[in-house]
Amino acid sequence: MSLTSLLKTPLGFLSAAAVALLAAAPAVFKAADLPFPANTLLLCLMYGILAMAWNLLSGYGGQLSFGHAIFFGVGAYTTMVLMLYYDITPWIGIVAGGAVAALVGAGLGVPLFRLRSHWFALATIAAAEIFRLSFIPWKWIGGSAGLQAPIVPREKALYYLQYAGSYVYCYVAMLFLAAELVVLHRVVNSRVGYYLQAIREDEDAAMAMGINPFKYKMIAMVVSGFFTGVGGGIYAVRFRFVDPFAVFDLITISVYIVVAGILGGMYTFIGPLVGAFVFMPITEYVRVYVVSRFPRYYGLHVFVLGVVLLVIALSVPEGIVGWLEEKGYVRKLKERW
Amino acid sequence: MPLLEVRDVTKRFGGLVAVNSVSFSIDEGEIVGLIGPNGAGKTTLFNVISGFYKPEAGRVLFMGRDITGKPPYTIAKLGIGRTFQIVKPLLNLTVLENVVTAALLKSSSLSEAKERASEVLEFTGLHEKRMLKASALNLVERKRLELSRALAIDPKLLLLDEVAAGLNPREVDSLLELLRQINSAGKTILMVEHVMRAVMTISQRVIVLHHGSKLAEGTPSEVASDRRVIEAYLGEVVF
Amino acid sequence: MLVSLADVARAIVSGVLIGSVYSLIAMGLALIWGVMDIINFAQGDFMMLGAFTTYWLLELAGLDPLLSLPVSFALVFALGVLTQRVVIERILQAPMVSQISATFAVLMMIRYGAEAAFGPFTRRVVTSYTGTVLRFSWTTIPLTRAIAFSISLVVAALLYLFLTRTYVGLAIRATSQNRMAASLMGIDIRRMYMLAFGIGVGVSAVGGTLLSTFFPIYPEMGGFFCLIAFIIVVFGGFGSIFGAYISGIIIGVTEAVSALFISPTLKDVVAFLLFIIIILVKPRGLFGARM
Ligand SMILES: Nc1ncnc2c1ncn2[C@@H]1O[C@H](COP(=O)(O)OP(=O)(O)OP(=O)(O)O)[C@@H](O)[C@H]1O
Ligand SMILES: [Mg+2]
Repeated sequence: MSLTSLLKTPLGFLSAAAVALLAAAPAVFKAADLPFPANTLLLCLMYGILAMAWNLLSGYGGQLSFGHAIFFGVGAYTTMVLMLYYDITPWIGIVAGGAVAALVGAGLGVPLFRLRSHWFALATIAAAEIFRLSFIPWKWIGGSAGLQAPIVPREKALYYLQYAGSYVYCYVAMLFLAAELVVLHRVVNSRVGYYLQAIREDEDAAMAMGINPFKYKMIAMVVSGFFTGVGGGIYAVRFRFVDPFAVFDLITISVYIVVAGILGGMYTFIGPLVGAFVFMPITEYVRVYVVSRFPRYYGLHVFVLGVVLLVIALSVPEGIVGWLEEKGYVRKLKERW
Repeated sequence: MPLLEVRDVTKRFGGLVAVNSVSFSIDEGEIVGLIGPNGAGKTTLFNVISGFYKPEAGRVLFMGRDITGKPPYTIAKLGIGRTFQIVKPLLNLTVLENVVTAALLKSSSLSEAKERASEVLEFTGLHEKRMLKASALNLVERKRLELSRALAIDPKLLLLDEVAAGLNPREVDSLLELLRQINSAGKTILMVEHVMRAVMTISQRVIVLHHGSKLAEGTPSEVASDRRVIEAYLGEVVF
Repeated sequence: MLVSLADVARAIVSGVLIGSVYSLIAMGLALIWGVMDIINFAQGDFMMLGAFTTYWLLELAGLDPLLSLPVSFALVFALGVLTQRVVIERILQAPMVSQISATFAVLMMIRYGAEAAFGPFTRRVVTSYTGTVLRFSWTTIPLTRAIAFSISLVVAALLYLFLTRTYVGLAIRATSQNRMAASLMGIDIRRMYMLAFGIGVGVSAVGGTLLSTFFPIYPEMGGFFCLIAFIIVVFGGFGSIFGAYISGIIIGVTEAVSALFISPTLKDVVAFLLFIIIILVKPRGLFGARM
């Protein structure tokens, strides 16, 4: 589709405008010296990457994971270890983090995909706990203290991907997000996408159509794990620090991902990204402006997120994008002006 | 060589023998009816043939190949399509997407699958509803969707579990016409049916199950006049 | 490291004592699971509320934990009834995703609401008898744990009598077995669910109160205990609340004995591995069937 034909529909126009805005935003934030919006934008992009990845397995495939922190943590640690111990640039490290996370996904899939629905969800929580607890005593990678990357001289900034603030990382995240969107779009509009949805809707019916559920769940897990690992790698370079408590956290990683996915709309392609862009600013705002001013109220941001999740679960279970689609707004936006 | 051969198949659920040492075979090109009172074991037998249940004893051979205990998707790939008595539509997908999913089995690309799915829907009469979500269909249409999906995997053998249930006489006629066309296009059909008029008019052969065992087998008229068969059905009415 | 038989015996005793508290938390989870087929991810957080009720009543009013125990049950029971009416009732027939996300939302609201209100600090419930121990020739038992064990037995017995001897209890069990039949018999299903959820979280809150007398408390403590409760319920066969009691004690003993041989973190790893293995190989649990 050419750019001119894209601009002929309101949706195309809106998407183009959104992309242009996103591309300009970090530069504007930097010029105006606005670290908070830049950081929030980075978190939106990062959780967007994570939630889009999660949605392939949990939305399209219907295998509800509450353990995506596993892939995130493994990706973050891989990037960090390669950089600190082997002097490998995070540009490679982030992708390697994705690869290792994908492998972990394949390994976990073998036992976990024997479980259905609730049991699968519970087992993913337990598996994530196992990862967190196993990393704590693992001295080689820093144990409970974690790993911290030292500050590097400025001329090495590009190699070690080390910049002040979140501005540059926004572009890094956009790059990986764009790659992810291309890959996922191809995957869900292929045999794999159709088969995953069939498995989600009815595994018996899927099998009667010649679909091997295990095989396609594994594909989803591996792709999902890969991009979640990439997200972890981005986190590691941005914050120059990883520890088992932060990167394997049930709430701030695994559950945040689920909230973004459900809020935006699990059964839609772009929903999880939209969800991340809606919920992240809310929790960040509460966390930074309310909680940091009144440290007594630490935890309030997660409480607010709980309220958001509850409202969504009770009143708009199809999510924002799902709701827009159902009401026909998306179709209208796709019509020519 | 028969297309399908069932040899001494037994399937138990705990103490209940749902299918008891049943044997029969089906030749290529036939339409065979499988009848029997409620709970006779018909659906269970289908589940064994299509790989959803492992039998405790006996063998199932398809085109001379032993397929006993093979997973359902392998059996589907080999060429056995089935419908479910309790329909299993993919509710959140459109009718077209339901059938495209099935058509992908024998298609090399998505566009090819879409074309085949459209043809199938045209044939089964669901084409106008193709953009509706499957959840919007009524039961009769859902049964049609089951049939469409089973057809879309382009099987050699079709196992149909009560596809005529709930249809009015006119709809039954048009369904039978459809099945005849499917059959003359080279597909073998084994159908479970309670609508007697349907099975008896279309089947070349009928197999009767009762309490899990094969009670009789023959042409529709032979079976219809068989004393044991009449008693089995009467027994159902009386109790 | 040498482990003597006496060490093992002591570990078994302490395992039984802590296990009996785990059992209470797990029984509540099993009751809710069994009656309405809902997995309450917030179970551990209702327990935490029980612990904090005890703490605050002691701090602010000087009320002894044994006296605050009924208050803690009543408060959490009321909150449970409210949760049932506002949240759970609307998701009973909803898809799994909505069910899980709704109870998770309740978890986040309780746990982090508590954290925002009380701060993330660890606190202790200290009474005049906190340090008291009962001395035997071969072991010593902290008085608080002995009390917790006795009360846990009493509460479990009361729950048993309630479910098997009272009309309401029987009605709750009938509802768990067959919703339709129960409603035809004139049982008010909605009320039974409210009671079951209230009692379910209330019993866990009693567990929290007992726990607080010998265990540090903090707003996020529910996470760990909820996972333990899941392990126990799965081990005991979900829906089986008396299976949950026995298996709570088994898990407590297993935990205490294994602590003699492996480090605390590794011990938890083993627990979670066990959980995954049990649901893989024995999804119906050890005691099968229903309550
Ligand atoms: N999964 C199962 N577990 C236990 N018992 C089963 C199961 N499936 C079927 N049965 C029992 O096996 C027997 C045969 O059932 P089946 O469904 O095969 O009968 P059917 O001939 O298809 O009946 P209908 O005409 O009512 O569809 C019945 O007694 C049924 O209750
Ligand atoms: Mg049947």
